[in-house]
Amino acid sequence: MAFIEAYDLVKRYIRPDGQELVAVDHVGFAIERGDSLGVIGESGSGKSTLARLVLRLIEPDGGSVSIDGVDVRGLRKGDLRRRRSGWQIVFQEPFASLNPRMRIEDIVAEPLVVHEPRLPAKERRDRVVAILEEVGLSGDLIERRPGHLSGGQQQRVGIARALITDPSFVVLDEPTASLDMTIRASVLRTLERLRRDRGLTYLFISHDITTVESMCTHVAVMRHGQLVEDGAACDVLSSPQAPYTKELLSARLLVDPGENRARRELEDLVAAEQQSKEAAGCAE
Amino acid sequence: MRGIARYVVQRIVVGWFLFLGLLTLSFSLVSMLPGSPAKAILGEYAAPDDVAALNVKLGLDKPFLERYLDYIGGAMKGDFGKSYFTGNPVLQSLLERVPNTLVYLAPGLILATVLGILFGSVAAYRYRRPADRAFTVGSSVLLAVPEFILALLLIVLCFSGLGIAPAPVGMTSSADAQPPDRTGSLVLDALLGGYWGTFDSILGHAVLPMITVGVFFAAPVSKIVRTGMVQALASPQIEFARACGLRPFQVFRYAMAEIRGTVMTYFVIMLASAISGAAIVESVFSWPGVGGWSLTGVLANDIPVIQGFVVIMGTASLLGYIVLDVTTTLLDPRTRGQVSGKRRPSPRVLAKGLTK
Repeated sequence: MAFIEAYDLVKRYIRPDGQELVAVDHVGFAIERGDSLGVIGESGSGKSTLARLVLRLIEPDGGSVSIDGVDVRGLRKGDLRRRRSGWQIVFQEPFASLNPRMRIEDIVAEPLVVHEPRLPAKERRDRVVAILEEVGLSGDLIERRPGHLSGGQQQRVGIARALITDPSFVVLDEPTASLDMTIRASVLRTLERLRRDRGLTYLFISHDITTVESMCTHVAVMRHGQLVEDGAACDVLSSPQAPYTKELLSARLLVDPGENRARRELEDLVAAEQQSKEAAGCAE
Repeated sequence: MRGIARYVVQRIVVGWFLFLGLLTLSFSLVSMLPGSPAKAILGEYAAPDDVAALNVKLGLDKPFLERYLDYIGGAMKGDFGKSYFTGNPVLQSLLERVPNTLVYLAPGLILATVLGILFGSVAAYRYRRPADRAFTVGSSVLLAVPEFILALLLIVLCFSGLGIAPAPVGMTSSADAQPPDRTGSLVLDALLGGYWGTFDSILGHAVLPMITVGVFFAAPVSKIVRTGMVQALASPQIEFARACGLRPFQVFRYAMAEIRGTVMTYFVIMLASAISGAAIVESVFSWPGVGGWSLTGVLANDIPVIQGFVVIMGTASLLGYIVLDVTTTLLDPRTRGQVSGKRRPSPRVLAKGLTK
C-alpha cells in the first residue's frame, strides 16, 4: 500500500445558476513515501480542489483517501483535527494566509500550541527560531508582523508554520505562483532540500510545468476535473501520451533564453518555408 | 499609555469642533424650514399684530446671524432654548427623557448585535445549505417589516395573547411608587432613591420596546455578519488556520476579528438610526422618551425642540465614532503599537493604520 492513496475522488458544486459543476471527477492516484507528485493543469482544472479534498479541508462527494494507512474520510472531526499536525498545507497567497495581526513567532508557533500544548514556552520559542532558520529566515524576524516581510519571506514563514509540527506529508498549493522569478527558484530549492532532509512526501500543485519538472518525481495532468495522464515525471514530460499534455508542454514558457531563441528561429524558418510554398502556388 | 491618552484627547478635540459644525448646520437648516412658529402657536386666524408681537418675544424678528450667535452662545452655557409651546427648557427635557430612551434602546441594540452575530454566523457556516436559505428568506421578510408593525405584533402576542407583558402605556403602572424628584428622570430617580420595585417595573415595561429594537435591527446586522463571515471563512487565512488543526472556536474567533470593524461601524450607524426611529417605537408604547418628544416638536414646528433633538442625535453619533475610532485602534495590535509607543506617530502613519 502506497503512503498516500486516493481513489475515485469526486467533488461537485452547484453554481449560482443552478447548474452542476464537477470540479473533481473520479480522480485517483498514489504517492510513495518520500516521493513528490506534481499535479499540473490550467486554472479551473480542479487541482486546488483536489489538494483540499486529499486533506479533507472540504468534504468530498465520493471516493476515499488514505494517508499512511489512515482512512481520512472515516475520521471523526476531533481525530481529524489532531491528525492535522502530520499533514500540512502551504497556500499560494502567502500574505493572505497569514494573520496580519499576529507576530511571526505566534503565527509559526500556533500549530505547536494546538498540538503540543504542554511544551514549555522557552522550548517553543527555540523550535520557532530553529524552523525559521531551517527555511532560510533569520530568527530575528519573530517580533515582526507579516506586513513587514517581503513576499518570499512571507512564503517561507508559511512553510515554517507547516513544518513546525514535523509533518510527514505536505500539500503545496502553487507555493511559488505569486513570487517573482528569482525568489521562486530559491524557495523551490529550499522546498527540495527540506524534502530530502526530512523525508517529506509532497503533493505539489502547479500550473507551471517547469516548476513541476524541477521538483517532482511523478506528474499527474488534470483537465476539466479529470486526470488525463500520470506517471513518472521523466516519462510524462519527455514522451507525453495524452493530447492535452502535449498541448501543455508545447505551450510552456521556456526559461532558458538560448532554447527560446533556437525555437523562435525554427518557427521563423518554418513560416518562411510556408510562405515561399504559398508563393509558388503549391501550398496544400 | 500616555500615547493612548493623547490619542483619545485628540479625537475628543476633533469631535468638539465637529459638534460646533453640527450646531451651525442644524441651526441653519431648521431656520430655513418653511412656516412661522408664531403662526403655528397662535393658530391660522391670528391677528398680524399678535403674530408680530410673539415673533419679537421669541426673538424671531432678529437677523439670522444674531439669532445664530445667541444660540451658539447659549448652547456653550448649556442653554439650548425653551420649547415654544410648553416653555420648558430644552436641556431639562432632554435630561429627563434621554435616560428613558436609553433604558430600552441600549439593551435593544446590544440584543440586535448578539442576535445578528448569532444568526449571521450560523448562516455563513451553513452557506448555501437549507439553514442559510431559510435565514435569507427570514431576514429579508424581517427587513421588509416596519418597526411599528413589529411592535404591534409583539403587543398582540405578549400582552393581549399570552398576557406575559405589562400594558404598553408608559414606563410604569399606576400601582408603582413614585420616587421623589431629584434629577427629573424617572429612571435615575428610581435608581438613586432605591425604589427597586419601580425600577423593576420600568425594566418590565422596557422588555417589549427592547425586543422590538433588537429584532428590527438584528436583520441588517445579521446580513452584514453573514456576508463578512462567508468571505472570512473562505479566506486563505482561515483555511490555513483550519488546515493546521485549530479548534473550531479559535477559527471562529479569527473570522470574527476579520469582520469586527465592520460590525462595530454598523453599530454606530445603527445607534443614530435607532434614535431617529425612537419616535415610532415610543409612540406605539406611549414611552416618555426623546423620540415621542421630538415628534411632537417636529409636527408643531417647535424649533428649539427640533434643534435639541438634532443635538442629541449628533452627540450620540459623534461619541459613537470617537469610541469606535479609539477601540478599533486599540484592538488592532498593528495600530496599538503606533499610538501607545513613546514616539509620537505621524498623522500619515495614524491615518494608514486607521483605514486598514
